[in-house]
Amino acid sequence: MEGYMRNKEGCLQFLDFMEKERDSVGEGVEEEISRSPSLEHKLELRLGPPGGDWSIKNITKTSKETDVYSNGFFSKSSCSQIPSVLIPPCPERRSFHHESANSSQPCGGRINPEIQTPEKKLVQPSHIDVPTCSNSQKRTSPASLVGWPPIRSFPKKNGTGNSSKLATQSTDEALTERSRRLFVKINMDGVPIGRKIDINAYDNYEKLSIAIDELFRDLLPAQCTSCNRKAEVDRDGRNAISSTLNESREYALVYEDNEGDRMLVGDLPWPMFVSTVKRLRVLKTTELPKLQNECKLLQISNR
Amino acid sequence: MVSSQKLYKDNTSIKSMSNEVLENILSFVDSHKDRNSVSLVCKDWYDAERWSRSKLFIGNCYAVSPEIVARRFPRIKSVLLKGKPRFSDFNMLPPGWGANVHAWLVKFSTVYPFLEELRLKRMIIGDDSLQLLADSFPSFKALSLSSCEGFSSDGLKAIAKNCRNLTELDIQDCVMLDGRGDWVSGFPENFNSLEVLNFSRLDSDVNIDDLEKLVTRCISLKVLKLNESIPSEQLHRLLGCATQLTELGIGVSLQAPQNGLYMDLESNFNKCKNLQVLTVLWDSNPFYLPIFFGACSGLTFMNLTDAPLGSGDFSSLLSKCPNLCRIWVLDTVTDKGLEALGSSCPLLEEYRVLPYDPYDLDDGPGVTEVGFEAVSNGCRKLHYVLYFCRKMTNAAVKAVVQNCPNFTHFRLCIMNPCQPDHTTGEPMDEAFGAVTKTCGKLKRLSISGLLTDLTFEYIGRYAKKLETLSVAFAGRSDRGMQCVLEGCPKLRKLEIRDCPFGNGALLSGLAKYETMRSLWMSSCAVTIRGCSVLAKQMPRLNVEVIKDEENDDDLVAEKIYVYRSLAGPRTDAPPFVLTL
Repeated sequence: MEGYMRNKEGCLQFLDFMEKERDSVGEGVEEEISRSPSLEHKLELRLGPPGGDWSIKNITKTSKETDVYSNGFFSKSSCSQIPSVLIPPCPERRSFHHESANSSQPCGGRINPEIQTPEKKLVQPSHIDVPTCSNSQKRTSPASLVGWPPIRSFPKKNGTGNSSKLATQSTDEALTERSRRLFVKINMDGVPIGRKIDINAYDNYEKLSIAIDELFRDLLPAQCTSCNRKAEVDRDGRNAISSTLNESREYALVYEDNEGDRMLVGDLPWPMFVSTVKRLRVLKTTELPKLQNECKLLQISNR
Repeated sequence: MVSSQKLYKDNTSIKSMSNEVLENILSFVDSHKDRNSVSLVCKDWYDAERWSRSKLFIGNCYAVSPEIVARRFPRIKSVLLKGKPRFSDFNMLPPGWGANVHAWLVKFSTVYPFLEELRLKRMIIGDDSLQLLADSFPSFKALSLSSCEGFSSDGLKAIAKNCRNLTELDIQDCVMLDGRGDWVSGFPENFNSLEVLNFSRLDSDVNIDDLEKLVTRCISLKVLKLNESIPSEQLHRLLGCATQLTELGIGVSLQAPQNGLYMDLESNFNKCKNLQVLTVLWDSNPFYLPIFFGACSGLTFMNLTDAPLGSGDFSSLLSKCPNLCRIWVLDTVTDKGLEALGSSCPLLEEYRVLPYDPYDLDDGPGVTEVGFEAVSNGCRKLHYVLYFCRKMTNAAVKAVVQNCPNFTHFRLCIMNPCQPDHTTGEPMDEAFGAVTKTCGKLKRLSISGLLTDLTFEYIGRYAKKLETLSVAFAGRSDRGMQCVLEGCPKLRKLEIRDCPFGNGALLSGLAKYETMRSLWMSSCAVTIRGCSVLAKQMPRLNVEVIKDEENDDDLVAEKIYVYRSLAGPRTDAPPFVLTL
């Protein structure tokens, strides 16, 4: 929040700067941009000349402000997380060479006069810094931006989708009614499409494991034989997933909790598990050692 | 002198040909746009038109007041009202913003006692309004609510109980206050006039016994769209009327393969020989997919936005649907599925690919430029596309519009903001340059990806028929927005978010905004000062600033909504909406 405010001040400073600098910008730019009365002159804000003749000197002088300014155009919630696309695709392209100036145009480099402007003026602002926040982000989830991607989502019966803020006061009854169902996503290695499962429908790990077995069992043979739509029940498939809690089997059930950590299913008392589980995943046991290196691992015991 | 007098005489004789005849002729003119033109010819034509108009279309409920409407049009039977700006669908409008229909209904109940149809989009309608509706209009026939909210099962029950002549109850994408389904039991025992019943996305636990009785006695039922509360094993109880249905929507959630159940369902769908539209909410084992195959031969529109299918299943389904004109699908089908679409459905005119998991980046490959191009190769009649993807190239877009130059609606959403062409690293400007240059009939455009002002230059220069433009994370300077405002003569709706357009851009469109329905700008560089200037210069515009509670910077105008209005500033604006 504060960061955002700071950016805004930076914006305003920059805007003042822009207005002062206006006189130093070439005539052509002025004509091109403002074909309107003086009122608009005063109020007009520009990030940079669309092909004006800013010299490198000017750009480097303002690069600090531009970083701040350019950050300011994303919605508040993403202000500190610039989308990954600001990181140029390959490190080698970082410096804006003449030929490849088109190739990496992160949003952070907005001050960079675009090659494709009508005047086709090229500038080599090699001093431009890509905003520092972008380095720390692998990939910003669009979930950090409000209303993006522009998809409508509903508090659907199966619990997926973000509940619409617009769904106003439900009665208390309705709330308890709905909270009885707790759907979590479950993915399985080798199956491209995830499913959903109502955790509250089960009392213990055994029942959960049987249900998961049912859910995916018939998909396994279907995955193996490419076009066999009427998948027959495969006894082997059944055994592969059931008793997933048993480490010696082919598959293991892991879950992601509300802190984002991945853990093997089975250690917590059932009610506690239900309250912290956010997602489930069925992994091949061969994948487990990798998991051990990355995440917390709890002892599993047969229940 | 003599000749002009003679002319005058001739004019009066035409006049005396009588307004009745004119009204008669005008009764064949349906389109409100044509009627608006008619009303501009002369005073007599204006009068004849207003007396003969029976269908009212109001694109922005705040652009005009119920009183003005009632004064001008005395004989209205059907009303379509639209409320909130479109970005409210994406949670960008705080709750309580407005667009409540009640005041309209109060007025209508006094001046239009013979009202038959009410269609609302993005409005609030409470139970009291539904009760008023049910009580005030004895001839009421059709209620259609799209993206509305504020009502509960009680309100729907009031409609069910009192509207004896109801033929259409169509509830799309609405949010109910409760999850009860007892509104179905509100229909009286002798009620049987329903032809359209749609509640496919309503979160409502409908009682299947009541529903079965209702569906059985409504022998004229043509459109039946159910939600997921109906257990799949019981679907057959509602499909007795399958043969007469032209549109069907169902939810199928079955896991364990059971041959008996499979054959049961299959035989039911085989009866759907007249089906043109099928919507499936699918959460089942692929084993069951072929149950639909018998219903697909006549299908023109298939909606699979709640049916995550892989490419294999999708292909087999498509092979049964040669007559498909429109399809809505999830990106789980991947590029491979889209290739199948291109080869199976040559008659395709519209397709939409929506993301299965918009926020979760590690699920599935989704669709890319490969699928985009593949569909256009096979489906040359395309004129509408909505495509959500994570990567795209300029070359693919160019190829698509070369294949299909007749696009009227081109909506491309590259989901990572500011994403360049992933093969060249260039901005996506040339893609939209190609779209605007090649598609002369383009009416609606949504742009995305890394975009500079050049895109907007292209739009302003070439998109002369453009009516709706949606922009996000694009542009470099005010010039972008200016190009569009100066270059697109038919522009009606402009919605912009997260772009570097400031007061200069805003004020470059002064006179333009009166020719448009509305302008939305959020997270841009517009300030309150700029908005005040706009408001002062253009008194017939409502310039509204929506303040987010979290940000009380007095200078920044975080969200603005500007629209022309005959009704003056809103009287029902909540405290967070400043009217300047």
